[in-house]
Amino acid sequence: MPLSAARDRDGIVLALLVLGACCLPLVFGAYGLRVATMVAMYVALAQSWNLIGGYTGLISLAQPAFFGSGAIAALIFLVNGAPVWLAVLGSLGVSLAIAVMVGAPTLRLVGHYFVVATLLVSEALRNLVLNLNAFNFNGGISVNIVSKVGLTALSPTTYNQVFYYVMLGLATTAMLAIFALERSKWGLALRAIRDNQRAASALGVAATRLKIAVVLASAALVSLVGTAWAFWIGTVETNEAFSLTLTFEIIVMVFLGGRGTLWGPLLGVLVVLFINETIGVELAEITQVVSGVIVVLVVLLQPDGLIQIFRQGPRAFAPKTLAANLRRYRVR
Amino acid sequence: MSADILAVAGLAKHFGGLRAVDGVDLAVRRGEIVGLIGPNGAGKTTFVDLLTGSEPPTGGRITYRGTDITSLSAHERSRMGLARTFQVPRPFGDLTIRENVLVGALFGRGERRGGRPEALDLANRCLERAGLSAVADQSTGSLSTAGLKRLEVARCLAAEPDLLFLDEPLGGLNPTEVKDALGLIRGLNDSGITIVFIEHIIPAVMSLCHRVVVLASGRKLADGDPSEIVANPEVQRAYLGDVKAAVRRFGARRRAATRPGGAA
Repeated sequence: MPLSAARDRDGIVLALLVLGACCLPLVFGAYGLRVATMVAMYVALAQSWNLIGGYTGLISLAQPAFFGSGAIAALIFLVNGAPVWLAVLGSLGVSLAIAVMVGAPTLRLVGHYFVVATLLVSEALRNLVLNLNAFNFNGGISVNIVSKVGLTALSPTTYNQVFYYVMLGLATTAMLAIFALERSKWGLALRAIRDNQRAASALGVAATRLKIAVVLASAALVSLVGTAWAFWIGTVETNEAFSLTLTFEIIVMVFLGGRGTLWGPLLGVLVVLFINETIGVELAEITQVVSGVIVVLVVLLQPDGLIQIFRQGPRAFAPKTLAANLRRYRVR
Repeated sequence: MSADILAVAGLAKHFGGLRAVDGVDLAVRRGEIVGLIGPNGAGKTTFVDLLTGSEPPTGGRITYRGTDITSLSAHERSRMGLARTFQVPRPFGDLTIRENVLVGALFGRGERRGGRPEALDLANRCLERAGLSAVADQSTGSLSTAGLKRLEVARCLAAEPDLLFLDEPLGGLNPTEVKDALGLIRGLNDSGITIVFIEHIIPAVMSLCHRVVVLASGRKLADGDPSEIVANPEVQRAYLGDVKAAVRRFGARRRAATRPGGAA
């Protein structure tokens, strides 16, 4: 919906950001580029979760299942002699098949039941893969992607640049998906479902079908990010690929920045990774404490995320605003 | 084509052992305003839930404009021109009032035709009709009970219904607001929308409706024109019985509360 002038600027800002990001390899060294690649990867994952958790209101913990299957299935395809394109599409297919199997029963659940069910799915799949011993796979897997694309060698700089652009492409896709959603009637429908599914259905919104579509879109994106990540690092271990920690980090980023918004997740990713790369490097042992305190403060004082500071300006810090935000937690 | 827009045969909904709706037959003629009354717990809202697809029935058959819609989902029925308001308003809290109405305009009956400008235009006309134009860009949190009830109606209108179910549209309104709401409902009917109207305010039902149906304990107790219904001794008993039971319960609670040392 073109409902505010601020949103009309979004497209320009997004284009400039992507353009700027494309130029980063010109100025960044190996370390900087690595961090930039991580930022892009987290943005793609955060927006994938934002699609489900932010716009549709489904607090899904099934993301590790899609990330892990995207990563491990792709490498399994490769070690068994499949070309790269087949590995990408094949692992995407595996993730989507899992999404359909997971989505069909869990989308009937609401609230906490949905959260727990998706958590169980992720953990069940992790254990299943951990015990898988077939297709040249046994708990972990290692592939040299350079040789798989027919090259004998690739300079580390070029290698890192290639994966930076792959992740940037995925992050841009995710941002564009949210950008388009906010302007389409489907975005409005998702927000209506999140607020009151029965009323939305009564007004003609095909709620279940739409939720399945969102789960599939989110799963596809997460799976592709998983695949890119696996190709990038080359060696993948099951527990790492199906890590719930990654998903929790992502959820914290989305809530911190502002869920259900275009810019909130990007902001959340930047803030958390900035903390990790500054305090995290100097004072590694207190990073968790610092980010924990920040998260608690933001959740209490700006429940709609840090994005509110951009929207409201200094007013966001006014005692009156903060007090009003705190009062939202009052138990009636 | 018959004059009946809706035909219901043997409709039932059982929740475990509770027969909330227990084999109800009903025919609604095109252009009518039908009042649906009955004591609390009679199954009125469940009946509307079944007709609009919010709940699947345990048994029976619903025919709308000659088509069997019993197994269709709520959104499919909405797109065929069935709409409903909710007894307890269910606004989309994160959307503005205009966006709330836009949902109906974009996804209701007109779903398959027209673009964004047409939908926005339709939403604005519905807001105008419901008297919400002035506040359209505010959040739903700013609305009073009467405003929320109007929003329920405006959203339904945007879905362009032929048949509209109003679930206690007058509940919680003051006398002036009731008068305005009745005017609005009459206007909707004049523009060709068939209306089924659940309400407890009996004088309003009697003045507005062409026909009144009484439900009690999930069954149809009476069906006739308003004067017949008022005079029906069974209807009087169903309503008065309920009142007496309520008085008895209230008395028991008070006695328990005032007993020395006994908490309520």
